[in-house]
Amino acid sequence: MSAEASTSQNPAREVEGPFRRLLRATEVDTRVVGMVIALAVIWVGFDIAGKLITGNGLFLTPRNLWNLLVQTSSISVMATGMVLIIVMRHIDLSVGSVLGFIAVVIAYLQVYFLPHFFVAGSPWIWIIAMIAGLIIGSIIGAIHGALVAYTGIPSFIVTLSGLMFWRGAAFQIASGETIAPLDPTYALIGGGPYGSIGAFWSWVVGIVACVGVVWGLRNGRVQRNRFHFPLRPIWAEILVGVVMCAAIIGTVMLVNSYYWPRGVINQYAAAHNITVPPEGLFIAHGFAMPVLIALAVGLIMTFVTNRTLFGRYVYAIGGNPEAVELAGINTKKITIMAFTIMGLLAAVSAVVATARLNAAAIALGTTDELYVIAATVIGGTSLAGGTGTVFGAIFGALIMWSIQTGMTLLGFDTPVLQMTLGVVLSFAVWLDHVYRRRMK
Amino acid sequence: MAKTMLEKGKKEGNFAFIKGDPGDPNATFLFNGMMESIKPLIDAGKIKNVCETFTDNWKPDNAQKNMEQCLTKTGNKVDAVMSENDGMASGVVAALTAQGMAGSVPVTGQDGDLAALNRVALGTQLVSVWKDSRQLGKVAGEAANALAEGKKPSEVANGNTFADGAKKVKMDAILIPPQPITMDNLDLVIKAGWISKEKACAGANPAKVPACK
Repeated sequence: MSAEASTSQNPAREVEGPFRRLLRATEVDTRVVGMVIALAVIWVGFDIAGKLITGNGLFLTPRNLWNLLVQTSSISVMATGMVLIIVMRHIDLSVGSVLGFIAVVIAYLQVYFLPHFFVAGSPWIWIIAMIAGLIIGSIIGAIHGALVAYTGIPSFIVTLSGLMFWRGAAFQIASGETIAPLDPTYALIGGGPYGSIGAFWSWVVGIVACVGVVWGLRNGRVQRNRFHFPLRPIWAEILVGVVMCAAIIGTVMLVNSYYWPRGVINQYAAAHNITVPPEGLFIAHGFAMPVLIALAVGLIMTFVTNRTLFGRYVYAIGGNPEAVELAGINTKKITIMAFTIMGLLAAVSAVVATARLNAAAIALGTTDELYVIAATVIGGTSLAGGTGTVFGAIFGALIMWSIQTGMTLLGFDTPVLQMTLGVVLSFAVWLDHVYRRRMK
Repeated sequence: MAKTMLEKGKKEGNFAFIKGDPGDPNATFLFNGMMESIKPLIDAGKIKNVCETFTDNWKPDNAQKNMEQCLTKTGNKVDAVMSENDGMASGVVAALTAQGMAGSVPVTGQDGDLAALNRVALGTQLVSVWKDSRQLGKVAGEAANALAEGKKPSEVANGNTFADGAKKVKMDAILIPPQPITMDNLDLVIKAGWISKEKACAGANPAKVPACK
């Protein structure tokens, strides 16, 4: 890293173009810019393709983008954890099965077990079931981590065993049946019109996030001053703040311009004795619960990877495991912690997935591990270890799901879609490889 | 499935087809089977095939995503959904619920999934085709026994033959007719002990579903 920093200080600076100067001043990673551009190209491309093929550009509509965010959330939650695992040169193939197992456990507790102890409809039923699910998920992760850390079995094998074991366990508990329906309040976690926070609270979230960005930038500046680190030029700080806030506000406006569908409005009006005016009643969805959960997980995981000792050790181990071990860091403990977080996040995804479907099917989460790994890798995490970001992983998931959604809207069927995703995966990793070589 | 849809659901309008896993030949068999009844109506211009997607691994969550995309694509102009099984139907119904359309759009399924039978009672799913696996097992066991006792296959099958395969090869077979379960004959599965009445009828309106009275 220091070598790269010093080359950017060399006299070549005088010949660099305005774009490079902008990137250097704002300290934005070129790969982030690359991903944002790739996503923009995909979105606009699908919209134009839609206009040409079906005569209707559906991609860039609030409804589609809102759906896209909701559909991506489950994979992106797990992808943020997979970053830790892959950065440490491990792999977790079990996340899909763990998701399925936890989904069945939560549903089983809710539908068959806890109703014996509580009055029907008591909120404790879903709360306890959910918390139990999260705890069991963490324990499963810890077991995988301990096996990897202490037995010397490669993580590939440990989690491949996990993939088989937990899927089987899910089938055992559910005796092969789909468990449904779940608690109506619990189902709100899965989104939908009632599981979204509405226009007002979406603005609150947006404004809080904006204030957070400004505070973060200011705090960063104060800290750098304290340790006499080079500061960004003040215009760059303002530019970063304005762009991030604009993105946040734009997202709020987007989710707020997707209104409740007419069928739901009619049900709502009937239930609350409101007469629907002839021009229609407009109630905005706002942020859906799964999206908020994914954003919160993304923020926490970014903090964990960048600001905590644990996070820094994870990258250090990925960079050079032997050196870190010799430096006296307890790598076994760090390994267990990373897998525990992965297990917990798989459980969070299980909560989102079951709530969204309002059922726990045994097949839930099958092949998700592959999509999670693909999203992480498309997002710039190297399987060689040591590098990768949470932000990138979320973007990787978004890119993958944009392609999936866009192609379905254009009427392509699944086989073509799978072929495309396969090509995209290799292409993205190749691009990343080329980029890294050029940076050296 | 298709027959029940045409008789009790919709016989015209925009149909969506949620097919199973692309790697599973059953997905295509089922689709072709549906098309036998529906194709004439498509040709007559009464039914329009607005969405047709395979579903990776028959997963309900994938079916939900595909249905959401289908509703976005058509601007909610979907009149009926032909889902090839009950699990995927659960995803379809979840997608329809988010648009306030569950219950007004008939959805098919098969397997006699307990959750699906409950949806039939609730009216969010039109039909679940039920093949009593216990009867299937019983008949198969009896046939095996009879064969072990030295009977000829044609005697065991009581002269029934099946010749509708791809190559029209004749073979002895015992065919058990699958039973479409709708709101009107939900009592069949309850009486057979396949599902308990309280499970099937949870949240259902007894005035509409005879079996739940």
